[in-house]
Amino acid sequence: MNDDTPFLGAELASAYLDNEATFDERARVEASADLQGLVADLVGLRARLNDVAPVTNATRESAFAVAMAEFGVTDVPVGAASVVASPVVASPVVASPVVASPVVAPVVSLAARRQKVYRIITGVAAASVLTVGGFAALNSVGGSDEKSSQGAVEPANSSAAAKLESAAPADTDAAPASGGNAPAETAAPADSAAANDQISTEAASSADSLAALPVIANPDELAAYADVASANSMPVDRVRISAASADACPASTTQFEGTAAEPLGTVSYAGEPALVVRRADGSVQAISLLSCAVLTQIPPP
Amino acid sequence: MDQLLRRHYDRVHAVCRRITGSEADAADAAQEAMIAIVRALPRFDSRSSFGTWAYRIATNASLDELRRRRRRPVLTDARTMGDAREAAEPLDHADPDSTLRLDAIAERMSLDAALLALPESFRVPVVLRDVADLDYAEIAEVLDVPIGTVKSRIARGRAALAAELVRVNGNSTAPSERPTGGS
Repeated sequence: MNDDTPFLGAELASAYLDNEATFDERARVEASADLQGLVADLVGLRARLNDVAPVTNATRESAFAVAMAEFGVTDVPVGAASVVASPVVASPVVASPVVASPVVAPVVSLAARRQKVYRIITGVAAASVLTVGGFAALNSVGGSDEKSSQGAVEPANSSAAAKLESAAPADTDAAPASGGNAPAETAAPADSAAANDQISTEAASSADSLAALPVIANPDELAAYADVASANSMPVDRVRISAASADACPASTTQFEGTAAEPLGTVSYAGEPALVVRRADGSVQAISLLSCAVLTQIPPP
Repeated sequence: MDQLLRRHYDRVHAVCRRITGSEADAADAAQEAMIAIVRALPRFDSRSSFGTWAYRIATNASLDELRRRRRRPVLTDARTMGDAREAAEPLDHADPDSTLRLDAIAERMSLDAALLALPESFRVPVVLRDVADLDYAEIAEVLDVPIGTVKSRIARGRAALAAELVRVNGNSTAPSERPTGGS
């Protein structure tokens, strides 16, 4: 075709420049001054394409900070951008690549915060098991004193003893600092005290982190929050919230992932940390980050 | 992870810059690409090189950014002005470098305009070849097209780019306009 005739020369020169020409094609280009001229022009064009203004440190560090926060690394120093993983409405990501700022702010990973909540839950659950086991044992011992004449008491005592025995090694494993030489009777109370201290500390910090979330009391307030969050949030926030939720509450992620649902932020709803999501049909849900249950749903307008 | 990202960031940003045609969009696209790389890294199967894989992500992030830009209203602020803002700075005409600076800025702007005038199907393979330095096979893998198509699109894209540069500022030679006897 005649239209392709001039293009064939351009394609030959282009392939020659890229070292993608065959032996015959290379020979044709090298034998033609015109094609050599074309190649020289393409070299100049390539040089112009590579003449990209150098990226600023602020832009680069901002991108690294956000990416590393996604990776779950905490306390990454940020040069120009203050990236705070907190509720979207309260603190949206401020990524200003051209505005240099000397402020160095820590990046707190949402995933790490969610993991902390789970550690607290695990600690509380362990403490509950110990408490229930302890009460059962004490009741059983008291019962045997009062009702020693009753033959049915014996199996109950055995059961309680078995519970205590099973609880003691768990304590020993949980606190290797207590040392393997300590008797089980003395190690267990020490472990329990340490565990209780840890639980109370973590419970306090859990309360703090919950208090830091916007408090939503009812569906009306949730609807208002969703409207504000939709208007103010930025795409990168949604990505990060989605990832953090995936770590903390896989069930909630599977509920909205792939359905064009849009995570809007985290709130304290009815005293429980919850992810607020706007679904594709416009409805808004508050999904518990503790139980993954849908705490409330506002129908689409 | 930090080292890995740092090693590739500048080139990823350059690819985004050339595909999106603006500093602000390139910064956003490169950041999105970094996030996407981190998130998808566990699924990276090493069938292609990390660079090829990263440029595929950067390309997709850039194209997504372009689509987002088309949907949102045009705002003129400090971030979007880019080279235009730099060009608007007063130049000292006694400074012999000022004319050169102005020419360089005008040249960058005309290149951006010429690149954006190209269809994406031509612009992306040219950028992946000349900026990302991928070979034809790698570009074919990134774009999921045959190598012959890549070869053709790059040649046509370069020719169209050179012609567009001539149209924009008239001071560049268009390869496609040269006689091409080929013998």
